[in-house]
Amino acid sequence: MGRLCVICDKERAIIKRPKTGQKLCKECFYYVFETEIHNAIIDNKLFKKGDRIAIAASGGKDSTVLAHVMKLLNERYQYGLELFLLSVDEGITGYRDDSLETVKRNQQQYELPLKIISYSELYGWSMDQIVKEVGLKNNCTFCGVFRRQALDRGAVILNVDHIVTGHNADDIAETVLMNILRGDIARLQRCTEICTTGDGCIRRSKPFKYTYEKEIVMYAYFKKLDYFSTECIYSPNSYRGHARTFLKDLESVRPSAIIDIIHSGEAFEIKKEVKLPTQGVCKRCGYMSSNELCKACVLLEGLNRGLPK
Amino acid sequence: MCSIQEETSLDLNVKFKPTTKNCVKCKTAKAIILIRHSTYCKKCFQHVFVGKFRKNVEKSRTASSYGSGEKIMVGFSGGPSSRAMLQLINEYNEAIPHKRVYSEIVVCHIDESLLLNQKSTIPLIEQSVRKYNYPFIGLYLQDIYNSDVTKSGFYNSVIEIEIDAKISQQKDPTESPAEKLSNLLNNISNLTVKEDFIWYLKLCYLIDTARKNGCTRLFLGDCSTRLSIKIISLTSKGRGFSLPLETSGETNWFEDVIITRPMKDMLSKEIGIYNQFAGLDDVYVQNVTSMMHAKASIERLTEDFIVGLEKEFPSTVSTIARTGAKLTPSDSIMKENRCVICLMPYQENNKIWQNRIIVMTIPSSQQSNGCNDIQLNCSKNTTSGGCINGCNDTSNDESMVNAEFADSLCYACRVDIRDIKITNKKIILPPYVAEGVEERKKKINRKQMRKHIEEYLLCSEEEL
Amino acid sequence: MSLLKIKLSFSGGIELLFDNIKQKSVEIPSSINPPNSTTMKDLISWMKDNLLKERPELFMSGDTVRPGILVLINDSDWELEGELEYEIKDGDDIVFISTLHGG
Repeated sequence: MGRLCVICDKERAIIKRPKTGQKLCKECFYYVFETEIHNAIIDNKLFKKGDRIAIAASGGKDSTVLAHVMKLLNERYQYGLELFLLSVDEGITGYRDDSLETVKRNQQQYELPLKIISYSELYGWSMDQIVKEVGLKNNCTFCGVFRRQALDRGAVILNVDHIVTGHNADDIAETVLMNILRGDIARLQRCTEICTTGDGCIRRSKPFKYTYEKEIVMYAYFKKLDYFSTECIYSPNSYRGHARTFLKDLESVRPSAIIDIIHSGEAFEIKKEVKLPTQGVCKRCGYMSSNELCKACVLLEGLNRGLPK
Repeated sequence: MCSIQEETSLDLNVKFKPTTKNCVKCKTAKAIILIRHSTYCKKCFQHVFVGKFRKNVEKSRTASSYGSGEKIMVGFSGGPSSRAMLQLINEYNEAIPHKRVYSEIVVCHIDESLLLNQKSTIPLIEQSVRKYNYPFIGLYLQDIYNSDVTKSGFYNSVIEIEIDAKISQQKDPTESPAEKLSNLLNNISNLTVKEDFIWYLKLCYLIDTARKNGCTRLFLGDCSTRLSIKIISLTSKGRGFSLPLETSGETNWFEDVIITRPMKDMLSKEIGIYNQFAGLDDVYVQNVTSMMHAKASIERLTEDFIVGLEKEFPSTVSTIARTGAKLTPSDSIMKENRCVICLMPYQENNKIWQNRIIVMTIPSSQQSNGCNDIQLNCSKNTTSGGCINGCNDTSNDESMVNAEFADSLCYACRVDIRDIKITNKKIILPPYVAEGVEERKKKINRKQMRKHIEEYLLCSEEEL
Repeated sequence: MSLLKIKLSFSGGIELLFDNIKQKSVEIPSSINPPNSTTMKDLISWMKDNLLKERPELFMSGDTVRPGILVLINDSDWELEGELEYEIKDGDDIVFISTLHGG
């Protein structure tokens, strides 16, 4: 005789909710999962009717579930949004091909238009080529910088107002900790914002800001959503690895710790005397940058000159 | 999906083997201590150490409105930091005997031995500080249940939470202070919550004692290692809003008692070595999580994490401490929004925020099963007010007390209470908590009254 | 095999793991791992086998002492004396200080 779901008191409980430890039935789990995301969207006034939204789609669990939930909520609550899938091809053989196939399948399943943009067409270099040139030391830096710009440029091509990414609560909590550990006060202030804007830069939101990674996996599992899951073959970074382990340990001591960290991050305010770097634009490509040349252009210059950076 | 978000190249200051044999300061003597990346001889090390203390103390002195002749209290746990601090305060104050900086220095220690079923630590501690000849106050943590450990000096009403999570206010409970404290803490199996509560009970007791003894300043011995651990652990517990007040060199939040942390720039390593050279013996005082494994509580886990990280990356502690120092108490802090348990400021609407991001009920039934923690008597009606978790019910007197209590908590204390499962009898909270709830209620009533007649008033609240 | 006579001191709470003794003179073999002379690494593992009464994980982490425990050799930071590779001499004064749970 199984226990009953603590919310509806009718159905048998089949899962223990990672965020709260509550024992829930499937339907109630779907409800709380979806409603919390809806609340995050509404309370933060992320969208308005008629907005064109690009969903950053990697084929991984976060973006697959994101596409599914955005479509579902758009219909259920009549947000009135036009949704697109936007995918970036970094040019990593083996890894990227498979995940791109998944995105193409998502396009069919969710009936959403898809745009794929590649590093090769944007920068003239694929990740495989970059790694051949600079080795495995700073390749993640390249990839990170290039991807951020690639999404923006893809969004411009699609003519959308807004990009949504699948960053979840675990990602944000980890970033808060990382920024404290390495003293990046400017990023610390920004990283808990659910929506970031910038001149010359498309607005980005994280509807999964308060959604636990485990629950995203659970949702995908029960709803039998199709996703591709492997870590990039060119990761990881050891310092972040420590922070991630700590976060996982924290979660096992107290499940709400992830949300608690985000809550703390949102409350931080910086002393007025602290100097923050100012934002300008890149001389070469017009992207926003605190220096004359934006990161991507600097890295590209280095690559093109044959100098590893 | 790649998990690396935008990364800059990290200047990680990985551990290196020092090549210089000489002290980096005097450049002549042989170096015998390595602090981060610098090597010092014994003399220079001590000089720099004392210098850091003086700098911090001078800074608060000049900012102080008391000039010279302040009466201060030293919070003395018995650990190495407070041991070193007391020695430094003594040397500083006695530097010019006829021109003492502090007119009076009181040493205060809080004994927690009840929780560990051990002998009292007070005799040993008192003996270890006897040589300074300062008035010594040894307190038992359980005495926080005395009706005089309150702002008014006499408040004997308390808040009780029973096994069915009924929250009520009672007068003159018959149990002894020791029984009340044991009961409270034995009902909290979650060590994170236990540690958290004990910390704030101690802080409250210290502040109250300082106040009652006319001390305008309270010295606490948090070192930079301890502070950087606190910065991470407070963040992890959702205490980001009050973090700057709990980790800064000086805090005015308690108005009449200023908290000063003069050891904030010294690493625990520096303090350990200073004590060794100065022959200062510390008394090892155990607490509820001493000698436990890392995952016992958030504090233990964080300490393990930071101390381990510092070993591999020696700038960890200083970077975290520096980051924390750049944070400021929020502009939105309101003096009257003081959590009744931890006494720290809370954000308005933190309860509502919590309910939106953690949905506990479905629309078709507002069952009490929706709140699964401190089980409360919620009915199906939805009116304003409500329980700890935000279900809405003020249909009777009990739930009024629930609502008032729930509304006077900060986010983190709310999370703590949610993690308490009462298995034995009931828990009684110290009188200062009930006093806080009543005070808040009065302030709100007064505010409402004022709003009602505002257009006819010709003076401000302060002028009355 | 000859013996080295050394003095060990404990403080900061670490003494609880060693029978509550704050100071102890011990004699250890001059070559615990022949043909090499006894090093700090050897001493620590010797202490674990011969002196530690309980909870080795609170004193050691792998081959070395747990992070948060300071070691002084003749009043000098062991990190400047070669740490684990330091070769112990007769009459050495070694202090172990725990800095955890302080305040």
